[in-house]
This record gives sequence, C-alpha cells and structure tokens, in this order.
Amino acid sequence: MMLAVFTLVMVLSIAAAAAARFGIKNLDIDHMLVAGRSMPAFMVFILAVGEVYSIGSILAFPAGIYAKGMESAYWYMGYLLLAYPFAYFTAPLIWRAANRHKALTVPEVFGRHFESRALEVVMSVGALIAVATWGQFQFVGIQVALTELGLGLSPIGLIGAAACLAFIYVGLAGVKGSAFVACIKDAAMMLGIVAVGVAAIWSMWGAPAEPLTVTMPQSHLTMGLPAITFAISTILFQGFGLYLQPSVSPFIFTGRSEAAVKSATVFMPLYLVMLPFGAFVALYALTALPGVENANRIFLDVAHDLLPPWLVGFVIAGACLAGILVLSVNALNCAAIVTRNLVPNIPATAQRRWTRLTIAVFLIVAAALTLVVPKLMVSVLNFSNYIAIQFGAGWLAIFFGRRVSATSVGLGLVVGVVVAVVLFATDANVGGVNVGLVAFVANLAITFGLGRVVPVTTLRRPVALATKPLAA
Amino acid sequence: MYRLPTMLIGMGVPIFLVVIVPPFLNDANLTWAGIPVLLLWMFFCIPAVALCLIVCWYCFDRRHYQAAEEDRP
Repeated sequence: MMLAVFTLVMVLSIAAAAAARFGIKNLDIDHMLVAGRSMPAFMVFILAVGEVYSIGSILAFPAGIYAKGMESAYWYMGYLLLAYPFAYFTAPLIWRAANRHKALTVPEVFGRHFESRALEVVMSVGALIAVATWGQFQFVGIQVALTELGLGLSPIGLIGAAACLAFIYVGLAGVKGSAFVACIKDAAMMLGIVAVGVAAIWSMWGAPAEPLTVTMPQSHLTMGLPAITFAISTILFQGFGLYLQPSVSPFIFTGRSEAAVKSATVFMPLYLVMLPFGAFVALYALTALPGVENANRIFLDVAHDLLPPWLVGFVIAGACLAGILVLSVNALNCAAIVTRNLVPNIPATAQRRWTRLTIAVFLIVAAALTLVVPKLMVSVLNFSNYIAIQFGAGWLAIFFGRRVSATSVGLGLVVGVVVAVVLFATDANVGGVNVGLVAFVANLAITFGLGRVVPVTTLRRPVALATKPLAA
Repeated sequence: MYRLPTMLIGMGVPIFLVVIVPPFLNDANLTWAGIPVLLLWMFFCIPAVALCLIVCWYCFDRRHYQAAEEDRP
C-alpha cells in the first residue's frame, strides 16, 4: 500500500510537469528559464517558497531538535521567519534589476548592470559552486527517503531514478514545469508532516489516560551565551541573504510584475506552520524514543511507528519530491549559467538544446559525486553556503550603489569568500559570531569602500531609485 | 520607495519578535508541559510575522503597486 501511494504521487508529479508544457507553443530559452516573466503571484509563491523547503526541512529540522534542542530550533525557525520580511523589501528590487537588464540568470544581471564581462564570469563561477553543491546535496536526503520504501534497489538505482525524474521535471517545460510539480510536492509534504505531527501530538496528549510531559535533556532546554550569540548572528545573516542567494533569486525573475513578487512574499511566513508539526515529532521522539543513534532518520522512524503504511507512502513521496524538485531547478540554473554566461557565443536558437544537455551532464556528474565522494561533498556544501550569501553585497550595490564599479563588486565577493573560508578552515572564534557575517562585512567594506579610494569612471543608476513600481 | 511605517512594521517588529525577545525567554525553568517557552514563542512568531507583512501590504503598499499593474500596456 505504501508503495502504491508513493507511485501514485510520483505519476501525478510527472503528469503535472507534462501539463505545464500545454499552452507554450515554442519553448524558447525565455520560457525555459523564467517562464516568459509571466507568473502570477500565486505561482511565484509556490515556486519561491517551495524551493526553499527542501528535503532538509522535513528530515533535518526534527533531527536538529532531537540532537541539539533549542540551539537548533531557534536559529532554523528564526532565520526563515526573518527571510520573508527581508524578501518583502528586496524581492521587488531583484525583479526590477532583472527586468531592466532583460536578464535570465543572476550573473547576467551583474554583468549588464556593471557592464563587465569579467564580472559576469566571476559571478558565474561563484554561482555555479553555490548552486551545484546545494542541488547535489539533495541526493543525500533523497537516498535516505527512498531507502525507506524497502525496494531493495542499489544506491546507483535509487540515485539514477531520482536523476531521471529531476530531468523530466525541468526538461519538459523548464521552470514552469517545476512550479507545477511544486504544487503536488507541497500537498504531499504538508499532508505528510501534518499527519506525523498530529499523530505525535495525539500519542502524547490525546490517547493516554494521563497526558505525558515532554522529556528533554537539560542541555536541550536552553542555550549558552556562545550558542545564542552564534544563533542571532546566523539568523540575521542568513535571513537577510536567503533570497539574495544565486540558487533562490532566479525564482523572483519569473514574476510578471513587482506587485506579483512583493505580494507573494506576504503570505510566505504562513508556510512555516509545518515547522511546529516537525518540532512536535522531535519532542515525541525525545520522550518516547530516546537514544536513537542516527537522528536524521527520526522523522521517518516516528512516521513508521505511528502511521498506517499508506500515509507513510505520502510522507516518503513528499520528502522525495522536495529533494528531487530542488535538484531539478538547481540543475536548470546551473545549465543556464553554463550555456548563457560561461560558454560564449552559443546562438539563442541552440541554447535550449544546450541547456537540456547541460542539465543531463550536471545530474550525471552530481549523482556520481554523491556515490563516490559523499563526505567531500558535505564539506564543499559548508563552503558553498558562505559563497552564496556573499552575493548579497553585490545585490545591495545594484540596489543602492552609485559609486560602485565592477572591480569593487568582484573583489568584494572574492575577499568575502576568502575571509569566510579562512575563518571556517582555521576554526577561528570572532566573539562567537557567525564567520559568514564577518566575511560579509569585509565584502561590504570592499564593495562600497573601494569607490571612495579609487576614482570611479562611470556612475551607476541604482535600481532602488526608480520612482514607482514596474510591471513587465 | 520605502516608507517609515512599512519599515517599522515589516522589518522592525519581526526583528524585535525574533531577535530581541528570545534571549529573555532563554531559561531552562521556563517550560510548559516540558516544552521550552522559547519554542512556543517561535511558534507564535509565525502568524505574528505574517500579520506584519499583511498589514504592510494591504494598508500601505498595495495601492502603489497596483497602480503600476493598471498602467501595464
């Protein structure tokens, strides 16, 4: 029964990707990457919010509470809670910048705004590292979830199947296909998380004659000063930067107007209502299943314990879809950067073919890396997070910078990444503050300070200075 | 583009709720049915932050942005 429900959800997701193709007479590169900049607020909401909730939200959030308690719960919920207020103000500016320069990728926005091919290449390399590793990381979670089905497939078989689905989701109709699949994924994921959460709440307070009291280790109940300093700096840093990362900001490009992207962010915090259900799963596990060695499996373990098999099928399908969808869109973003920004002179008519080919190559390479060097890829992911948010300084320069040159933005990014990597690698302690935030301050100083020292030949027109909102 | 009321309600209040208040609730003795009150506070912040953005959009910003939509060719 579990397998039947899982298969049904997967078939529905493929049908959704195929349905997205209807109505598009000619799938040109514009439609493939930004859906012709035509998406209404609802679809921008589904795409932008859905891509942020990867498989990590389902498996890693309860696992974090189970392993570390409040330390993990506070920063994770805190940064997501602040990401939407920040996006409310920055998302329309991102859309405006992309629309002004008719850009389909993040490096294109930078290259055209600062009129520099060299900056476009630097941004492409940075974006590629950030986007590719985040996409590739999804394979790890997909493997955990698919193993729960008990099909007896080898890791190669599981990863190969996931890669094929990822290709179908974006190969048929580009980013629009991904948005359609996101609807199915959100429904399955919501149903799964709420079902396990409600079952956990019912087991603790509904069914027993005497309601249980949650039992958490003392270390899980509170945070020490270093932990809270780190959590607050991380919340501010990641919350501010979430929608400025090259793996997330392209979703903003798909909106049909500034109003569409701004109004889409208004209800995004409500999507977080699934997190309390995940937290209750962790609280139940701490109380009823203490001492589990692999915390990453805790959500699925509780699902197996408390739910009928057909509902577990929904849970696994939602988790898998979340991972495969993020993987597919990141594959599309990588392909777009390679075909449009890194390899020069590919004719517009051939770009769609090259994009599909690059998606396939990306998926094969990412799958191979997952199988051959999984631990190395986790380390690379840590670095890639620091790279991704450094793009925030460049975006601020596009929004507000007049005396900012391509050199200062490129140099700022490089300095930011180097500072972050050095501090991270040497395990440096900067008053307990997240080293990414320290690196970001260095990046900002270079980006906005260099123009004060070295004369700037061309003054830029900041995107935020437009007098009224725009529509495509 | 950015007006003071929307900055205060849309950014100031969420930062107050998520960054300023939690250190005061970070106490191992503050629990309800064994659950840290700080965790319950973070649950409360979800509708509260959404409400802040809803107020910003529907009371202040929407009419400016809709005017641009209507101007669309």
